[in-house]
Amino acid sequence: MNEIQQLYQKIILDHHKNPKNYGTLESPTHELEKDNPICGDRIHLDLKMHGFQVEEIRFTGMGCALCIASASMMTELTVQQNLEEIEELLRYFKEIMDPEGMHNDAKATYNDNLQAFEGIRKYPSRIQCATLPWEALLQVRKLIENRGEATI
Amino acid sequence: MKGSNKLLLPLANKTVIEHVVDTIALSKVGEIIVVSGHQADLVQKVLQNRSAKIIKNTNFHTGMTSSIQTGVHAVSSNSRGILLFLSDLVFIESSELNDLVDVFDSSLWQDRKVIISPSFQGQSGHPVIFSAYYRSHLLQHQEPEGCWGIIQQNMDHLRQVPMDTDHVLQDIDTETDYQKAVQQFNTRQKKCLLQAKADFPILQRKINGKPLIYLDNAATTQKPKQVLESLISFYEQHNSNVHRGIYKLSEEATSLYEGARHKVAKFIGAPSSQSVVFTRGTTESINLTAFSWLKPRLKKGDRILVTEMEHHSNLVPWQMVARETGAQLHYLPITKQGTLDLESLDALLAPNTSILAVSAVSNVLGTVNPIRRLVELAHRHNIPVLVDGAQAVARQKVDVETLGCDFFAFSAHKMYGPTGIGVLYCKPQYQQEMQPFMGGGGMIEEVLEQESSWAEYPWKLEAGTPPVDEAVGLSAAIDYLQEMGLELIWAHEQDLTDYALQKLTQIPGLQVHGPLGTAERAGVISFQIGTIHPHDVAQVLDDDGIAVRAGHHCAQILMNRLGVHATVRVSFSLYNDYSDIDLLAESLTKALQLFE
Repeated sequence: MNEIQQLYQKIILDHHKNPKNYGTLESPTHELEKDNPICGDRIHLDLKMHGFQVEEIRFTGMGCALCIASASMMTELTVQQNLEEIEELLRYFKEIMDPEGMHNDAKATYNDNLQAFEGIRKYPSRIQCATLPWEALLQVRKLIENRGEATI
Repeated sequence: MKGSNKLLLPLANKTVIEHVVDTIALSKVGEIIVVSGHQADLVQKVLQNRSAKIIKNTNFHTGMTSSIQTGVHAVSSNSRGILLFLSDLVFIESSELNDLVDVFDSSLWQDRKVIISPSFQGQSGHPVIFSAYYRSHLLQHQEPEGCWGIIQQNMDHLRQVPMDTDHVLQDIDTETDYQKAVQQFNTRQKKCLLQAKADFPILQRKINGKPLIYLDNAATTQKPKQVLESLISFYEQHNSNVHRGIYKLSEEATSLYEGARHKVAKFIGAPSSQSVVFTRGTTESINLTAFSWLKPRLKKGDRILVTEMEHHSNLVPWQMVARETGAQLHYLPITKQGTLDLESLDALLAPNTSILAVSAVSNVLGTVNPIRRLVELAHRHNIPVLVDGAQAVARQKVDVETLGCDFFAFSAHKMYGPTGIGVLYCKPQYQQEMQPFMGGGGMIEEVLEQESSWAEYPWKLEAGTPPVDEAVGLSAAIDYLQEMGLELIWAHEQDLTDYALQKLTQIPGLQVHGPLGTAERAGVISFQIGTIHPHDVAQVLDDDGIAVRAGHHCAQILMNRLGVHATVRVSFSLYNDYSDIDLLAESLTKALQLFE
């Protein structure tokens, strides 16, 4: 595999072509949006939250293959997870992509597709493409805390 | 040929006399004295940046001898010899002059009366070198048309030097001679352009093991070694602060810095060096106009007219002054073809419009805007015009007086010069109205405890130590552009653009934005391929060593207008060639296979 194939691994291209959970929810508890001012990419999320836990998630948006694949995988990995777990997942995801990061095998216990993103290590400017959907999602914590919704 | 001054005839990028003086300056010949008779003032003007001494011969009508004698008078008394160069010997090259000087030097110690004359296939030609011994002969002889008599009387001392070319026989006497010269010089210059890649050291770099193909010239151009060497030479030989020290280095640095201002003024056809302000770049030039000139006269409800294709640098400064004063931005729309919608212009030129700010060439679409026409229409309503020339200056000959614009802004780094320096040209009538928005050293006349008075324009706008090495680099970049010839560069980029459009539109699903067909387009092409995101396209191209730009290109208003949020952009410069475009097309096809 050359570097470009390592970056765009088959699983990433598959998620890009056929993204999971692409679309909207009929009655979301939260709608979130985040864009990348540098490239203009934008991710929109519809969420059904139960307390701090994601019950259902759908996304739409404009983005590159890395951004869309990341969003697609995120929707699969975050259902039934609480925000703390998702934050932990994002830390792990960032470590996979970090050019300086230790590729810590002990951490690779998630047995997920995020490992496919390790090719980004050679292209650090693209890390923000992959993290955009996650940062969009994690904005929900502030909304919940501000509205005191967590007590519901 | 009758009636025209041979010396001032154009050949490729320069006049005959400039070619001749430059050839001699590049050779071992020590000092250059130009004797001009007919139109001496014009000749002087053309040569004003060169190190030749120019002497007027008011008796030129009495024959060539009077000109030779006027020149010989001015030759330094310690010269070893005198080389008589007829000003229409345009084909001779510096290396050929060096061959003659070498033979002269090696003969002189054996024969102090040596005369050197070149020949080609037995026929003697020009130029002739007389040893200093003949100084008095040259000054005293009576023949009106030259020095042939002196040579004949001293045949024993004449050394003929056989040359490899007939350059020593060719002068320009007839219209046919001239046309032949024009053709040869154009070919010679075109060859230079085609070999330009070799002037750019960075283009030797490999990216992912492949040669770098640089197609992001609208963002910044690469720098030729001539510019890089000028920077090194400045720091090795002349570095010091300008306008300050009473010592040699500071005088040299000052004259280099002010010399660059002079060169810029000539380059853009400004009426004087004083109308050129050095800034950090196009962005600062526009901000300077917005804050120093426009803001103090802007009232609530006033309009600032811009266009939908402007770069953020020609939008945001206006938004900032508008927000502070209650003025409003209005947009001249673009047509579906990506050209300015001139039909809407008249209605937009409302009486309370304070300025029209427009780019000469779009950084996204490559559209070449009809600046002269726009200026004419705006001036009819007494609306001044600022032209963002960032994408224009390295591509087409700019003459601010012909354009008629009131402000003209550009950056050095998009025209083969260094980053950190740009230019604002401002029409003389507005110069006194420009108030400094930065204070500091260099911009003052007198500083008192509570207030100060300003230096004259343009120095009052250049607070602090100016970008001296950048000015030197900009000056070298202008030399380089003129050496290559802007007309040829434009033609070359047009060829590349036509070829690229033809190649790109053959790729399935590729959609080009901006003018196709008859409208003028510079070497900038933005496009989409199917639904592939521009970043992904750029990434695949990068893997093949091809540098392009992907994104909104600092033109979000235009992106909205085009209904896209990003494009892939390729932009050409003088060092790109057809093979670059072939490789681009190949790599794009690869991207298509990967993502579709």
